[in-house]
Amino acid sequence: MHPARFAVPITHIGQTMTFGSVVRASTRRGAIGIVLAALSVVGCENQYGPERTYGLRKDPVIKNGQKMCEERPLPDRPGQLPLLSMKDLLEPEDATGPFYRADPAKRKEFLTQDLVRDPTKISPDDQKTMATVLEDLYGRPRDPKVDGLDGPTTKLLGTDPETLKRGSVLYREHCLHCHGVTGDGRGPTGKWVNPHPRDFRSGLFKFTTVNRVEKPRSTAHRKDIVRTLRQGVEGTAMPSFGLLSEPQIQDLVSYIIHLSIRGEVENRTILGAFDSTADKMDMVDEDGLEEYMRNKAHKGVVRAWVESQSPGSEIPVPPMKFDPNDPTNAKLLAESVKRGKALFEDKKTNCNGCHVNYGRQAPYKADDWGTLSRPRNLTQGIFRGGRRDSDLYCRIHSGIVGAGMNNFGKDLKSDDIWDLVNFVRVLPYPEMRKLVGIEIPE
Amino acid sequence: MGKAWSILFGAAMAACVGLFVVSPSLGWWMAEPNSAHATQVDNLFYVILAVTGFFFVLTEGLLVLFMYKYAGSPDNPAANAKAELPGFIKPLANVFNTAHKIEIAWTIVPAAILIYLAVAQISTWANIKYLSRMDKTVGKDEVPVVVDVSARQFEWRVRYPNVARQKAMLANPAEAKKDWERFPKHYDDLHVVNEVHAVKNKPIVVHLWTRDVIHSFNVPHMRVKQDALPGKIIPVWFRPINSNLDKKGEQDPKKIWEIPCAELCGWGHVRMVGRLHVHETFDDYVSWLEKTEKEQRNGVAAAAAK
Repeated sequence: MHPARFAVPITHIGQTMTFGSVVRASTRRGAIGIVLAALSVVGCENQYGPERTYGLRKDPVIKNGQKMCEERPLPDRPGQLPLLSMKDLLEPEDATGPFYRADPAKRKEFLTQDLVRDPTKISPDDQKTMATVLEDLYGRPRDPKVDGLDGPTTKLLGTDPETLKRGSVLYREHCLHCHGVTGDGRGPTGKWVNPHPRDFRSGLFKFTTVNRVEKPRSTAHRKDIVRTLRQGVEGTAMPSFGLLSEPQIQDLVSYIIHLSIRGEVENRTILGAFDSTADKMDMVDEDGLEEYMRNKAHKGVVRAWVESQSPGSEIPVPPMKFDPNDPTNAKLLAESVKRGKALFEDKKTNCNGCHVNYGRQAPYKADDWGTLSRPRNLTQGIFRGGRRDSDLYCRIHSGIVGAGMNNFGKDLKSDDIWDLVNFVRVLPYPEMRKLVGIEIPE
Repeated sequence: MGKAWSILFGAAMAACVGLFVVSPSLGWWMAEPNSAHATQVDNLFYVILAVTGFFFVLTEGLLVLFMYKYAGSPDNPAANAKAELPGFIKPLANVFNTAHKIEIAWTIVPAAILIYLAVAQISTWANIKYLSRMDKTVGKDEVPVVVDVSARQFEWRVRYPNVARQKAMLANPAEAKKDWERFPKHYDDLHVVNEVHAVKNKPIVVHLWTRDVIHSFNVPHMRVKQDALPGKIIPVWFRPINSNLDKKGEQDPKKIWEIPCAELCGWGHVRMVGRLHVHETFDDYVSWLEKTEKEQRNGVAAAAAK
């Protein structure tokens, strides 16, 4: 046998292999030079690049989210974002997705029943107009702004360009990887967390203290977003950013409001200025696209935000008639909890209808953001929107928009709501249930 | 040319040692010991540092010395193996020249040192970690601050007893042990995020658990570190001897004591940082509890004010 057939072309046995010994000196220098050059190009930039634009959205705009799929026992799989393009609805590759319909004829219903709108069907000229107007009104990620507002409004919403620029830097560092550049909740991490990150573009915020019974078009008060940032959302992937300083949190809130305004104007334009058929989107508004965007959409959205900040929009939370903490009130507390339980099971309020078996068997349903969520398991004692008495009161009073929790403040008196709050607070704790004298089945 | 390498190694070694010497004055050293067991932990650290430092200097010094003395060059290869031992080692020549003996020597000496270290640290470790020794930190009939810390990606969610329960514990310390030893959930507990409150010169017992993956409760200023393992509730205790809040409850900006998670837990691990606030007196802590309770039970705030 010729030895060369078994020759190992690397090294002699016993000789140590190192970068230095195997690679020629000139190649070594070149490699080190390339690495250093690459590092210097990456740099320490903490802002978005100057050419980066928000761009027009390409994923379907949801008109009626809660009708998009049936109830399911399980959420979508990790790594799945159910609604990235119309293809996910019309020609889905993944049969396990929540919006999968086996019958192709039924898939057309997404469009014929106007559940979603496809922005890619807008004509290229109209798309160009939309992109120009949006950039004119709201700038680019590096230099965001909200144009066309007077001084007091800008101050109220905090959307002056300096604040927004600081907010943009903070957002890019802390929020971008989940919530995406445009606030669409489709950042790289977004598909791996359940529930998926909030899509700010719909202008819907879940855990708010704004009165939706009186003002159904309310968005959110700044302090609601501050609360979410400071405390995180317990039970989800949204952590607490409470260690950021107060000015940083306020800058971030302003930037989120900016993203939400921009996204909602884009959405309203797609839903309102166009008429949708299965194949195309026709511009129908008589004033023309630009006028619609600047007047109807932009002004309308800003007005909703301004109204949401006024004290008149806050849910009036009347004090409880007795102090449940006071041990001498134990009897009053027991009666209140029993009333709350009766209300919970009552056919009219029908809490058990969604919070099946006190939430222990609640199914997943589609929400208005194109993801799945389910009514809270109230026996766990985890309250995503905050666990203060007033937080629970606000949830029951004005519901949770987008997720299907109705606003019961219309039909229930404040005493009834407090009874429900006391029941919900006692429900997760077996020894309290025994103390108060209520029972739930195992 | 050959000697240049040894000078380089010598300079690097000297820089390492020099860095250790100047670090404390540059503020790059450990924080001052802020808990009762901190000095014991630091002393162990210094013993180990001294032992390893001695051997570091010894071995590196000899390396540099021999490299310098016997350095060769391309046209003059390194000196042959029959070099003379330096004078100060001559008495040990017998050991050094017999391979078997020197191998025994450098096995037995480190083994003895390690056994010494293993024995020396037992009692410190036990006082901090063994449940049976918790009473060395929490005295008999002493009521510690009790706290339930749940680690979650990526924050610390902290649960405290409410004011009434805390006061009941203080009123009856013998009974209170049942409460704080396990600290089960109560419907009127107070929940905050990323804030652990303790009291100077009083023990604190943290019931540590995790809601998802492995995290680590790490309070470097108190020399406390404990992994939070899924499925277990692990008690951690320590006694702060300094406070970082002034009388009004304001944070001293030079004494921010952080609780950075010390076990890689995901993309936000680097951001998972809590704060430890140590009050001057137990009354300050109770007034903070009262303030927190008022915020959380704000359904009756207006009624209570009447």
